[in-house]
Amino acid sequence: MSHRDLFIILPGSPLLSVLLWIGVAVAFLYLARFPAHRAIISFSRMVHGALRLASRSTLLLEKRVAARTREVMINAGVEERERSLEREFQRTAEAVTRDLSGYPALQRILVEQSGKIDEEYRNSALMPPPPPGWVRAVEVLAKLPAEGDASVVPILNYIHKTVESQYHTAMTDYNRAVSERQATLKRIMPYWRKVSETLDEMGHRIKRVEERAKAVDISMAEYEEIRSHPDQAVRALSASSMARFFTAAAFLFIALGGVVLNFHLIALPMSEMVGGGSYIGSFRSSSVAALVIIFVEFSMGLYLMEFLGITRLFPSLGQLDDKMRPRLAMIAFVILTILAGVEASLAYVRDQLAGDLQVFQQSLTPTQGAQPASTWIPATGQMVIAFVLPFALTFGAIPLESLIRTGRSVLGITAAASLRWAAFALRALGHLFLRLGRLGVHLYDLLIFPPLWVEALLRYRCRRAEGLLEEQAPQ
Amino acid sequence: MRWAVAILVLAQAVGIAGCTEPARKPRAAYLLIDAPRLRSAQAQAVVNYFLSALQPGESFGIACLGTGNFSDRDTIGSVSLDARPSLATQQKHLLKKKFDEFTSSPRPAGHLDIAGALLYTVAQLGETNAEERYVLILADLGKEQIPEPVKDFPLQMEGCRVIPIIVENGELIGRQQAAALKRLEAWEEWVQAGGGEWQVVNDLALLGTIFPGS
Repeated sequence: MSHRDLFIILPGSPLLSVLLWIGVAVAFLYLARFPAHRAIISFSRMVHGALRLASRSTLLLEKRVAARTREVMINAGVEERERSLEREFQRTAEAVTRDLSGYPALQRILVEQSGKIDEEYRNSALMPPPPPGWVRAVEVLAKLPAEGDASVVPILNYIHKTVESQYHTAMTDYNRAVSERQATLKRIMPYWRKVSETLDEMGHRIKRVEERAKAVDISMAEYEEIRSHPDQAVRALSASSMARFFTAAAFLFIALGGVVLNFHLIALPMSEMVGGGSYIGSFRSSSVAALVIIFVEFSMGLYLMEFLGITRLFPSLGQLDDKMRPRLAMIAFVILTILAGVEASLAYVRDQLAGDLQVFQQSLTPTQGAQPASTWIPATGQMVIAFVLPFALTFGAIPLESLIRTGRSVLGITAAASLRWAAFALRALGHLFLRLGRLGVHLYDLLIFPPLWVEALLRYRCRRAEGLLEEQAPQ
Repeated sequence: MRWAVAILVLAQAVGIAGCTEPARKPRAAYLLIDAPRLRSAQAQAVVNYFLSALQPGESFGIACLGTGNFSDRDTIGSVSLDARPSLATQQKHLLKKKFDEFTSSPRPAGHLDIAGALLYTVAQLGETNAEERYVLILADLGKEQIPEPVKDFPLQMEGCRVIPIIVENGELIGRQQAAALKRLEAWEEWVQAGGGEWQVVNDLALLGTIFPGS
């Protein structure tokens, strides 16, 4: 007896057996209709409730993440503005020290110039000698009538000529005195010009200080804006963070290319130092040594940038004494230069090794290949690249700092957005399950439509018999 | 902040380390060439290939077969390359020079003591502490003159791969070829009984996959 025979109710007529089984199933389903409906609805509501709860929890988490991101962004913005303000203050202090420290000297120059001007002015104020007192008496004599006594007339004429002569002499003296006065005034001109220039310079210096003060005002206004209107600031900072994050990532990618190039330049010659056949783990010792050199260089670059105050990745380094930092920066620079020199040497060794290998390969196949036209150009190029790359990679500290600073904000924004979408998806899924439950109820009824139809017909007839319904066919 | 820097630097290190070559086990190879083939183009090609494929720290030796019972005198040259690439290249130069000098004069062909040569080379390779050991035989192992290996005295060849290079068997036909194959199978069984691996190479280009260079 096979497994299938168990389901054959009427031997010889499988179709009838199937129909009978369907009838039995429909009858059972009809009898279990209400509990089944409740079960389907309960299940769909349970799933809906669970998904809704999950959605709400996700939304709460999203709010917490968003709030935390907001705090981080505001703190980052405030810190950035504080740094900006600090730098502006430093620049202002430098400008004041540089421009206004010379103010006493300028003042002294002005006082000296004004003293000289005053002296020259006083010299120019010297009046020409007054005409002699007897001139008035001569004027009186000149008014006397000429047709008088014959003995007096010649005297008068003589007096007249003498007076005229005196007059001309006096006028000549006067003109000379006026000329001298004008010359004295002319000598004052350079002093005036110098005073004007000094005043102009003072004006420029004060203008520069004013510009610095304006920059401080702008930074201060931005700082206050963040403090007083955090919502607007967060929007601006969010966009700024994204842009800076991707820019920094692009620059770091370029820097990574430089690191890889650097690695390939020194990995082969490193085997001359540490051996080419030894391994540390699954990596060649020479590769590991090359990586160590590169990372020491990168670290020195980071320290150099820190000591110079360009980056602030390590707060403890930023708190060092102002006199100590330039010294440490110099030490880092010297170490970096030494390592760059080592790299340049290694690049030269690499070229030598490649040359030896090429010669050996040519000796194996003497009929092939030819000596390269010039070997010093690639050798020099490799050495220059190996020397310059460590210094170039130092500037990778700037995008690295930017990436790290903006990374938290970008990560928070991305996480919040993902959580928001997840909450939406969970809620939508919950609604879908609720609808599916109702659909399940309807599908259940569809499966057992014959008994339902009969039930409706019977109910209709009962009601009709009771006179509750008018003539109306059951639907 | 410091954690972020450390993670970024570590990621960079892993990224660059991924660009490096994978770890390779130290290798050693010994090439046995029968006297008539010493001056052949195949012998030159095989020697040249191994000299260019060997890396610093690896070992290589060449010996001549077919001068009677195999002994130290049949060794053309052997070298354990220095870990420094520059010295390794010089050592390769010297070995090549020795080989060229050895092959400049013709050698009389005689009895091929394959078993003795294998015994010697396996011992030599064992001294190198290489993890991958290869014995290459550039000789016609199917020749009737070569006695079949004594199965009762298998050689200890664990970790050794014996590679006969057979590239000119086209002349053998019919019964001769069947006999040659049978003798080869006997050698294969003998090597495998000693714990070694057996791999016949019919094309010199396959050496690149068996013993890859840099």
